[in-house]
Amino acid sequence: MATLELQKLEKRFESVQVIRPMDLLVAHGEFVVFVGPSGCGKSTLLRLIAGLEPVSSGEIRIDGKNVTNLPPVDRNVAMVFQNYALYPHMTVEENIGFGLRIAGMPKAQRREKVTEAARILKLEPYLARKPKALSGGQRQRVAIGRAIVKKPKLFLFDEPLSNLDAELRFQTRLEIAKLHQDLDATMIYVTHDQVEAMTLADRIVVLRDGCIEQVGTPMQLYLDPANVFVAGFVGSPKMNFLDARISAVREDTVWITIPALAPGDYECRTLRSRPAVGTKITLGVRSEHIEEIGADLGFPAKVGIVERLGSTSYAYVETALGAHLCVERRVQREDRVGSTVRLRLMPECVFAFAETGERL
Amino acid sequence: MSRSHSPPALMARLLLGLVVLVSLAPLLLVLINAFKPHAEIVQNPLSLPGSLAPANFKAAWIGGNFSVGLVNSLLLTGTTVLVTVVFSSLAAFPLARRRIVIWKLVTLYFLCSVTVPIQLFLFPLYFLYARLGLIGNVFATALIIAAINLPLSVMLLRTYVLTIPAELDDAAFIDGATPWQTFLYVILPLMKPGCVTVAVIVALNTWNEFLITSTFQQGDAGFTMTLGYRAMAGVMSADRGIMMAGACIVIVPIIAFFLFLQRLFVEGMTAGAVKG
Repeated sequence: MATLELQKLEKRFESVQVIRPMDLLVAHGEFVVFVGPSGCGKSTLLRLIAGLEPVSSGEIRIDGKNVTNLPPVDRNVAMVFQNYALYPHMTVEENIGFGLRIAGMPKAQRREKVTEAARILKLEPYLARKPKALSGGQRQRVAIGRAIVKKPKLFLFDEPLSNLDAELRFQTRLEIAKLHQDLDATMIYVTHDQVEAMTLADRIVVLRDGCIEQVGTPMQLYLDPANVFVAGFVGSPKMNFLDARISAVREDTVWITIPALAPGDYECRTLRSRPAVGTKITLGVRSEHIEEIGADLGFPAKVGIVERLGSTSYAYVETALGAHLCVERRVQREDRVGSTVRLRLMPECVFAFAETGERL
Repeated sequence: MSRSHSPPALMARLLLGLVVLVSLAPLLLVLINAFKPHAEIVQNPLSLPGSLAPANFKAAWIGGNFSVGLVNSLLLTGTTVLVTVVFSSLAAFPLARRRIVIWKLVTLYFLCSVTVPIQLFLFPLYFLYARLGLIGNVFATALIIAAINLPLSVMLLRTYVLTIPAELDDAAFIDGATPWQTFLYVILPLMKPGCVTVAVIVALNTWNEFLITSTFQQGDAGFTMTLGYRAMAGVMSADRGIMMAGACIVIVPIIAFFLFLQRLFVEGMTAGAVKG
């Protein structure tokens, strides 16, 4: 276990600023997930922490020790790569034990540790095989084995599940979660898949264009997004966004006009500030916070596509004034495509964002 | 009809068979005539030999002084291949992995060194070697031939290293390997097919080399197989049978070497390294 501290960490590739100066503190045994769209700098950040890329400025501290300019081996970190990066000419046993061999560990001791790692990852039957004779999931387990055998202070995972099929991804995700529990290790995990982030993380770091947008627990990010980017990125299906305007401000309630839904004002109880009347805003509402109500209330919407997932369905509807919304339908009913439903936004569950994207 | 039996595939096979026949016909002719006396060759060069008596080979072995030539050629070729493969693989790794700003200039330099005729360097080199007392030294001559072969070998191996996923280097660094250990334990074993290709090309070039060896390997004791054959041609050219046998003796070792290394041309060395 170890703490990780990033202090004003910055990375430039010539004139391009890939990581803008950022600070982050990861506690002992914490599972932190870096999440963000492609090109946001999350893998670069991981490579900086691993020591595979030189830092442009700032500091990286592991357990309080400044490791900014140390090579990977002196940082005592282990990394699992997106594409496995197994040594193809070595057997599974040699792959897992390579780091120990480099460290000069005697063969007998090495074998013992490799066997132990193989036992944890259920790789014992495959120790004599070469990577090309393994399935994708087994290869990824070998890559994880190579990491755990070193007993590092810090585990780094660079999108380790992105090359696996859905079933295997689910299984391996559980294995990683269990590994985290068993090893009680500090883990940094990079992914662009917010489902992985939500299910694995103690805390999620949302990145965009080399900047940290928000850091928090999965539910904090889901329930209390700091800006429109985080609100849109976290949660599946994506949050619905509508253009709106502040029409009236009272003590505990703000009234807004949403031209794309229906004439009239909507109540909004979640604003943390009191913007001036007339301010243009973006209203965000999750699919589960749009409910069906009786006739003559709310706004009408025509059902387009319906995604049935078993316990839940998602109906993609279009309002009379052209707004497209995704609505969760928990009630077991068969929404007919083309039918009209009357919906309303739950006033205590909508988010308002300023034109700059910041939460209001 | 399976793809391998389709008309275009059969045509391609026929064409390839024809090319193989045309390529091998001269060799076959040399082999057949190596067992025939001169008179029989003159009478009908395409006839099969009456017997497989090794008389021509015995005469050629003695006439070409091949016992000395074989040792020299093996030493020369072995040294050249070793020096070329070691240095080109060592150069190829950083040239492939590091971001080299002046890479185009480096390429130009390599191309220049390949295209500039060696004759331009012969006189100064000979002068230098003579001063150093290295004329006739097979190892010193091997260095010259290795230097001639290095640019092309470096370019070939650099391209080969580029096909090895760079993530393997990263994985090795994370595992605690130094760049040297990464090269030795991870990259070099994966470069084997590339190294074999370079070894074959360089071995063929060196074994058949004439200009450099005739300049620097002077005296009977320094003769290579090629030089021995050339010397033999002066006195025995009247007997075609012996000359053919001599040619066979010269080419057999290099063909054996090629066939031996051919087994090591392993495709897909990096299979399983990364997700394809």
